[in-house]
Amino acid sequence: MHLPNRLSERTLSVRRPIFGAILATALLITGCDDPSNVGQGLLDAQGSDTEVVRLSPMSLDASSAGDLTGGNAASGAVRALFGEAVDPVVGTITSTGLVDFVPASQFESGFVNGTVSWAGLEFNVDYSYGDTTGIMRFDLHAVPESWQSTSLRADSLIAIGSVIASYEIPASTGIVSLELPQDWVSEYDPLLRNSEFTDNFHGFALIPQQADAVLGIRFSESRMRASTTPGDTVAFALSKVASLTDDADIQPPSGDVFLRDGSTTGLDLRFQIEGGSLDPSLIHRVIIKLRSTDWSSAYPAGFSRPLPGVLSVHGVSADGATRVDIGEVSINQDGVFIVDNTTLTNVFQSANLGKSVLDRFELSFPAEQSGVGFMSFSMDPADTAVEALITVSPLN
Amino acid sequence: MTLHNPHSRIGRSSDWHRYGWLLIVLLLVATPVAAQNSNDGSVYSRFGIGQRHTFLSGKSQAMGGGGYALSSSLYPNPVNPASLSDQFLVRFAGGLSYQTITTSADGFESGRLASGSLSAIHMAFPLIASKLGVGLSLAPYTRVSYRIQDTGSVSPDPDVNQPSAFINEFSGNGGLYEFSGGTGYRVRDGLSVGARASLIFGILEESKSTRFNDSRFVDRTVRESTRLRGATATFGARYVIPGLPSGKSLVIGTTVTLPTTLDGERSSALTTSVGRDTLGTTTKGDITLPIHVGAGLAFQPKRSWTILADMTWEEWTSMESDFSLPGMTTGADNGLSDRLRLSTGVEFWPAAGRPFPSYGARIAYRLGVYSDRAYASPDPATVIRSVGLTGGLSIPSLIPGTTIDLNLDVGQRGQTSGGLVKDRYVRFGLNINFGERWFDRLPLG
Repeated sequence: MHLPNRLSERTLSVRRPIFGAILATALLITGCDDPSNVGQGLLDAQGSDTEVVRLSPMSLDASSAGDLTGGNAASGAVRALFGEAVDPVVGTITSTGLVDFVPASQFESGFVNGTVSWAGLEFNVDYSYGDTTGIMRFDLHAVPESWQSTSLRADSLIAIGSVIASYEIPASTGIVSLELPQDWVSEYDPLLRNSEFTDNFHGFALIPQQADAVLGIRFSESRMRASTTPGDTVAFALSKVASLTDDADIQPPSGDVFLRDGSTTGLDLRFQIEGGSLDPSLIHRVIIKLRSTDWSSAYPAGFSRPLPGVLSVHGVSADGATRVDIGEVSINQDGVFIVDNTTLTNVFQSANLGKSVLDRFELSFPAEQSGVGFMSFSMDPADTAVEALITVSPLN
Repeated sequence: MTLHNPHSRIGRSSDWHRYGWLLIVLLLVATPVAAQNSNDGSVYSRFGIGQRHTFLSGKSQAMGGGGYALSSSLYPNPVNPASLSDQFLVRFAGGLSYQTITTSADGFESGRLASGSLSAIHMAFPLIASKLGVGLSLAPYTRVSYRIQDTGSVSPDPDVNQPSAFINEFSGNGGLYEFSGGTGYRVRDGLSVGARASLIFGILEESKSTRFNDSRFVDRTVRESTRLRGATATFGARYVIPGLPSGKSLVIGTTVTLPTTLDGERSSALTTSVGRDTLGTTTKGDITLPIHVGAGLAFQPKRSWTILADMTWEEWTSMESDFSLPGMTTGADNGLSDRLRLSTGVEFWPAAGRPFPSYGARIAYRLGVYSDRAYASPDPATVIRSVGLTGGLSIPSLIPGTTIDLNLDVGQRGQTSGGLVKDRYVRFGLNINFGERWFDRLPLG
């Protein structure tokens, strides 16, 4: 039976080119994709373009959250603010400063076994707000109870003891040296030399009596000194600071809302992200711009007015239990804070789709700035001082 | 009587060598096909529940896509369950298709897309040779496959005009599959009847993504998935017209697929590079599929020639859906049209009736033409029609009863005017049909 064999050979000789043709066809038609926008008109609303939507705030008003004004060498506020300044725009700013000390090192036996004959305070005043050409009078009070610096806010209540002494100092920056009265030295002699000084000494309160400025005492180069006779002089390092504020005479600038550093109030910002003019969308980027009002012309020459340069933004739930750190932004040369990051974008996206527990954005100045300056934002819609610029694509 | 087919040699090592050829071809073809995007088909597949697919067999695909009256011992034809009665070999058929589409519309630059997909898998078993048979089939019922890409730029802060470029991509993929099992019975000479039960299932997925080449933007994709499942039944009959002169035959065939309701669930999700977030709640609903009627005839003026003519009609105007579907409107008029598909084709098989034909004569040559009025349209006032020319070769192999069918379908769909799109497509199909005699005992002695 040769025929089947001949047929097989012929068949194979014909098949191979055919299979080759199949392979060649398959390879030739591979990799020729060139998708285009043809058919975009058939996509209904979904085919609409990506665009930027401007959203004005639904509300921007004061919150009850006081500024965090306490701190230690590791975190929180870096200054104790004390003094009083009449601000031409917002009124009288009053602040009480708290300072506390710890031994800077292990005391020598000469100090421990001696008797303290002198004690004094050295303050590194590196911040002043107001008229820096005058004199500040303030009272130094004892603080009778322990206080936690890191959780202390501008509106916290701290027990203040009796007056120790009154002082007059220049209302300007620089090192200030103050001698503590002899009766206080005598009273505190045993405690100053005691190993339990840190636990039993709670610091001083600096309460202004007559002032045209608010001053700030910084940790570095601020200390309490004490000397025994005969013996050594030892140093007690500044360990904790805090500032308490009385905002009774503060008024926001006309037509503006304001956010003041070291204040008893914060600022809450709300946008109607869901159910308003912004349809459910794919949100790709959100930029919140806060353009501060320029009040420089309202201040007399020589009025020192350091302004907060960094703004902190948190997303906060209605009950305050959930806080999302959106970030900190610096003011630009045009006086605008621009919040622009993916966390903010994702918060907007979740809220836009009704999947967020967050209720508002809480604006504050970071505790590390430790000042009393303010920024205000116009509430006139025509000014668009505060707005969100949202890059969106239609969802449906 | 014990049947023995001396050509049923699968299992021998030499045949594995030959099957290896087929396997290599399939792998080499399937790999580039699979590498293509699965959503690079026609934008018209976005409408309704996707573009309706009808695949009867590799043979009928090359003859215009009809074949209700077609019956062949060489091909399973599960679309008409009556034809299952004619099997005497266990048959397995499967195919892949690969298509390129050039899309154009007024005012747009044309685009080119390519995609590959499974055509179908069929199996047919004779229970009583040429009398009673059963078959299984998995084939696409509808297919959603499109991708539209557009570029643009946006200035996120209009006060600072620094535009960023983006790509918007709209795509759809998925579709419904029909898994069916049927049986055909020859009632008497010339008359066969059959029935088929089908599960229809699948996922229709649409997505839209916007991508930026700038890390300050968040790329986002929203996907909407509709999962559907249901069952239906098809009844078919096939009748050989008696009394024709010797060498000629005329067969008519018809099928009716009953309307059915698919249970569905729809969900949406938003995805970014870092995660996936479900949107809203999953909604449940039903979609009704309409009655489907198919009829055709097959005429053989000579044994070497076969001529087909077929008609498919589906009453989509009666379709109802709890889900919003593109191209479908609410109210008394659902915005859809009844689908009508007409096709005709011819096959020339020179080897028919010849005892020792040449290899070339054993190749079957096929041509066909069809017109398909789609059931869904972006514009209810405009019917989307496809017309195409088909052709193909059926290449025999050394394994008796096994063929490789190469098909080509060239056509166009839609129009460029009226805001619509014209697709010009070339579809290449590769189908392999295996035939074996199973369950036979070898004769002893």
